[in-house]
Amino acid sequence: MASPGYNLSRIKVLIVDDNRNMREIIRAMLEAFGMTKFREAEEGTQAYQRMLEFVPDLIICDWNMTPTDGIEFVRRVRTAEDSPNRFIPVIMLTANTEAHHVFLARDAGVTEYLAKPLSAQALYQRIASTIEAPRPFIKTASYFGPDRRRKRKGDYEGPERRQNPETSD
Amino acid sequence: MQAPKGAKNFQVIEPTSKIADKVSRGGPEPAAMISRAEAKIDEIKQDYGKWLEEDMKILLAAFDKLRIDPANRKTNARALFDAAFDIKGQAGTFGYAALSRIAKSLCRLLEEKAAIVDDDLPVVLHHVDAMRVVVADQIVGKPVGIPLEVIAGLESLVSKRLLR
Repeated sequence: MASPGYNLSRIKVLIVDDNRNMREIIRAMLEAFGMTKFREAEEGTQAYQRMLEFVPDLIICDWNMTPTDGIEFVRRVRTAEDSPNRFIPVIMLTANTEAHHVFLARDAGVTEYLAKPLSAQALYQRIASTIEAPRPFIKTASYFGPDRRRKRKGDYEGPERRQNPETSD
Repeated sequence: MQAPKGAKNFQVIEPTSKIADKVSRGGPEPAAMISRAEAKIDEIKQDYGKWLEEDMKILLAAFDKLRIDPANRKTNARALFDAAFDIKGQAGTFGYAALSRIAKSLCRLLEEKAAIVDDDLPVVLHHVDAMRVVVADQIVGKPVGIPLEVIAGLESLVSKRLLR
């Protein structure tokens, strides 16, 4: 469990989900956490526009949306020249639960992955993680985003895999 | 081209602005925040029946289209997938674990099968019927007994269809 006693009222959150009810649920949970500043979007293109206007501190984003899905949106946030914050934490909240989905999201630059059904505890823990354990960003020929290596292997003696741009991490 | 041994083709960058910069101490204990959020979800739960009714209408309309319009089966299967996917995500949040799992099984069939053909329709129908029953009977909580057996049967049917 996270350290106690955060005041989260200054954090500006962009909630991106094509389902109005889901946006309402997420917002209600965030309000219960003491957050007060929100913008909402129904898909990735609209979300990027909101991001330019609102400059959020945190994005909570669905995956399956049209015309622009969550993965494309995150890639744009991480790599576009005009992105207002390429380092912003992005929590992907999705009903896609297979391992290959998680890897795809990770490789797009998602900070935290949260599978639906949504629970208050899981959402709080992901937010706390972005606050307490921010990861450095890695830039390679094929990737820009949070360090995908969460585990530190101090005794690793193999080749440096990041030297090969084709390597996924 | 392969990088020379020992060369680094990556940069490690420390973000200049962090979300922690906007966070201070003095808020409630995390457990209190989580309890408050859970209470909020309990409040919203009162409305979920109405939402679910709407979601089921969309699902049933999508299934009808899939059934009666074979010329546009791919598009109609996608619409049904979207409807089931929404239910899969939300139902579990409000305690309808059985409904979420049936929707997941339906999504698996619609997503993993290269093309939905006539022989798949009875399997789709079984899922839709099971979802109707769960909603009508308001079956909530972890599935046990008959609901669990029905779910296992549906998942097995999907696995068999995916082998064909």
